[in-house]
Amino acid sequence: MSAVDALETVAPPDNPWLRRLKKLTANKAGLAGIAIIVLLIGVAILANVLAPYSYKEQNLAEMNLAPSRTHLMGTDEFGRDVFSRIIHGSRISVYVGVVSVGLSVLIGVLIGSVAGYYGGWLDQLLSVVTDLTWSLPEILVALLLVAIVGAGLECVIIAVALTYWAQYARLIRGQILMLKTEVYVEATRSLGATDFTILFRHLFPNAIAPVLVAATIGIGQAIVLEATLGFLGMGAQPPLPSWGAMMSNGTAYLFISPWVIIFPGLAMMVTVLGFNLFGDALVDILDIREDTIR
Amino acid sequence: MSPLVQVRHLCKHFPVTAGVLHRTVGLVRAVDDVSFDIGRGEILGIVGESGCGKSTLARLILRLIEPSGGQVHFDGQELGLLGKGELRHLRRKMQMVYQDPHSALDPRNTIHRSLAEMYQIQRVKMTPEALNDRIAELLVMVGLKPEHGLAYPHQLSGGQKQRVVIARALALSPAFVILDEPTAALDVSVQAQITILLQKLRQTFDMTYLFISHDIALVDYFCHRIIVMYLGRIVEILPAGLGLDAPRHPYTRLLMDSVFIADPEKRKTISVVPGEARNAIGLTKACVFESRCPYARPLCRQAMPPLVEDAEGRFAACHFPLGGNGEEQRMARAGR
Amino acid sequence: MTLLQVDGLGVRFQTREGVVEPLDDVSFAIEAGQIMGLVGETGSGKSVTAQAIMGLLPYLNGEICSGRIWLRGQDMRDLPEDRWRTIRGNQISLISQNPMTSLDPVYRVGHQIVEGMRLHLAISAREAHRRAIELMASLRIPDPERVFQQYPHQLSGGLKQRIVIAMGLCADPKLLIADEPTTALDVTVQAQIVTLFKETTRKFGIGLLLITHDLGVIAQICDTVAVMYAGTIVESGDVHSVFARPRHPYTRALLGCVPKLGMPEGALSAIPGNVPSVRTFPTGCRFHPRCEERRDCCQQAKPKMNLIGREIWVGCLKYDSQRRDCW
Repeated sequence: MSAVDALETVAPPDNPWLRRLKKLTANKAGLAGIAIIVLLIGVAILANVLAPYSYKEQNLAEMNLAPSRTHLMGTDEFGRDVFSRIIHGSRISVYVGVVSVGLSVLIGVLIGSVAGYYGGWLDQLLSVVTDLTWSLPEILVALLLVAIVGAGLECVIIAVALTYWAQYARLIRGQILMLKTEVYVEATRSLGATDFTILFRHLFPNAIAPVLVAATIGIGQAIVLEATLGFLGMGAQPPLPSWGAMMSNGTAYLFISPWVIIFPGLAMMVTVLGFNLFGDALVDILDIREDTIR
Repeated sequence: MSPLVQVRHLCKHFPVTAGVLHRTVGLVRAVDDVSFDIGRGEILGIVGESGCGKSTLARLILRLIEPSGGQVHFDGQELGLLGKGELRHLRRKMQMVYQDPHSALDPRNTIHRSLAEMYQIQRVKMTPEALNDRIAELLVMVGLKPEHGLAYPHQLSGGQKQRVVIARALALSPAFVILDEPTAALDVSVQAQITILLQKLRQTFDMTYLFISHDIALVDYFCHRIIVMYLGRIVEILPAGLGLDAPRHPYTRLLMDSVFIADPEKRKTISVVPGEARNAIGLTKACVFESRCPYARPLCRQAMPPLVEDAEGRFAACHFPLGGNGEEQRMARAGR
Repeated sequence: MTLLQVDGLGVRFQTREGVVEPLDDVSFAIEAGQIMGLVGETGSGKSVTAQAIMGLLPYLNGEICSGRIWLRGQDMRDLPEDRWRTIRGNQISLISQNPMTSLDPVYRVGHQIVEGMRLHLAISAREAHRRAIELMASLRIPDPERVFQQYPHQLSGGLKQRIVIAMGLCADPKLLIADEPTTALDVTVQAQIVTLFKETTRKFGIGLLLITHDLGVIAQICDTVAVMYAGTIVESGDVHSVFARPRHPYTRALLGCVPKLGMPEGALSAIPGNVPSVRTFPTGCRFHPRCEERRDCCQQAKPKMNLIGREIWVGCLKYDSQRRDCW
């Protein structure tokens, strides 16, 4: 054997997705998170099938009934079945959470990667805008929007999209700043690759993981924000069964029929827990270093 | 035949800023007025310590960074005058092998994908079968197996990764390859493998190399001709293989004297008085090596000596070169 | 009395993926005033050896699983941590690879030396200051009074490494361990620092364990050398004998891998294959897959260290008189 020919052994092929799947199955908390998220989405899709009663039909004969076999979670002050309303309410939560965070990730990734990749005055300008946005309380933006266009789910979605993007922009900018000096990026550039190729083939795939984690946890936060606005009467309008609005209505009857407020609260808590657990598991599954998150 | 690469008065100056207003307070002359030719089929070595500008020079030649002045001609074409498309086409002919194989490969791509990308970026039309065959051929060429194509970088050792980086550089059959410390990050036993592989490949494919290193013994072994750089300047150009008596420039002498030979019978006497390269900031007129030069004289403080050819065809940028006539001249002056 | 004696040292680490044993049956000795070079490639176990001697393994989830370490006749194995604290810095000190990270950027360098002295020696601040200046001067630091007042970022790489050496010497240790002390430095500065190590060892009469991958540095200053490969010592002894006539195939091959000034073309040779990692150490002789002289028995039989002449130890079956059957 000549010395230049390496005495090479070949490692068995590595399938990164299989490896990640194995990591996920070993992660109990992550699995629980996924189970909750799958359940939530399933419930949202099948709401019409699953809900035993209509969410808006009032039945004044059955006002404020305690949980029983016919009404698993009792009824509210209009005699509507709380269980059915929670099931329908999941649609609003999932819709608001996914659409609003999806929009903000889109904005954030675009602005963050342009700032990080091109640098210079563009970066300085975009970073100032990002920092300003970062400092805006989302609830204030939402209230302002409500004042301008009136209450509604769209206000919540736009408010989240306009404020949350800043954190994703910061994350991706930091990642790209770090990655663009990697030698393999220079190697691709030395071959005449376009900015587009470099961004989409090398920078995004390596930079996106922390954003995925932040977005997962962000969905939980967006759902809470929707509930908060609903609680203040500025989110989804009656008779739409937003969990926040349900809790808001329930406050008046807190001591007569506490189930009206307890069950939507529990639903929301479990949902947020699900997204947080899954987000934490992603850190492990996607091999993200802890320090890139904060 | 004309040289493959001609470098003329190449400069790269970085401004040094200070204060809140980022006022420019000086210039780092990373590469300062550098000119040389690389002949077809030649292995030219560049040796120098950290901060001497050798890596900046490599990137200037490939036009990965814009020069502050000067030109690079490749195969008769001036790179600065080429359009984007022309430059991209020309990039096939000039490639680079990097020092650190760990960061030279995208961790998310398999080896196959990293190699296939070369053809995609250069828009080389190939059937998938032809591409697979070509990649297998490349891997075998650098001493790996076709199956390594399925691996991810983290599954390979440092030496194996460097072989992949070499395969990537060779993918488009370049005429000119810059080797930027290709063995510095590797184990001693693997360094030699890679050095020998690079020699073999050059003979097989008739390439021209620019070999950058801090190791003067390695450069002396690997190259035909050696350029010695100090603080952004060429201080000497000498043919390889001349041995320890060759240097004309005191800095080359110092470099050679600093190399320890792996033989306890050939121990050296080294001065332990510190002397180190300072940064190339400021606009001093003095010779760049003046502050460390054991032979420095008043003239050295007043003017930077130009790189001149002596009677024997050797180039040195020194007012009082060592050896040959210069030695006599120096002794005469010292004795006066 | 022998300054440091390491006898059949084996080390074990607990990792997430299971137990690994990066050191196996490592033995060597250092006398006062002597320099021993420990040379090896990645994963050869040279840094782990240093950590074991410094008693740092418990901090790294590791332990000594076999063998003994004696420092001036004292058994260092299973020493309680509070005893270790009086030994580290005082009797043994470690100089690590990177001078940039060994110094605290927020303190003046002189202060860091003084602090080291006062931690180990019962002396006044004034006395410590005086001794620090003296020490810095003996390490050929120009204008020590001025350098004393400077911060690490104001110093060049070579000066920083001199300060790190001063900190290592500040409490008069008997044994100095230097782990790749010049790898991060430029060639010309490396030459100065290496020479300074030799001068210092002789002047203070201390023992130096110099860990490096650079055979040139070993040849330049060491008295004895131990060549490590994959967690074992393959050859050790007087540096002149080992370099003049390397007996182990690895030592010989490694010396052939180093380019020398004026070497003719084609004279460089290489060792095929890759350096094994701690999880893939081969059976039998750990060098056998890459060895040009291997025979069938090298795959199974673990070589023991054989004494050649008066002071050369070689871990190769070729030199094992009881193994004449396969060799």
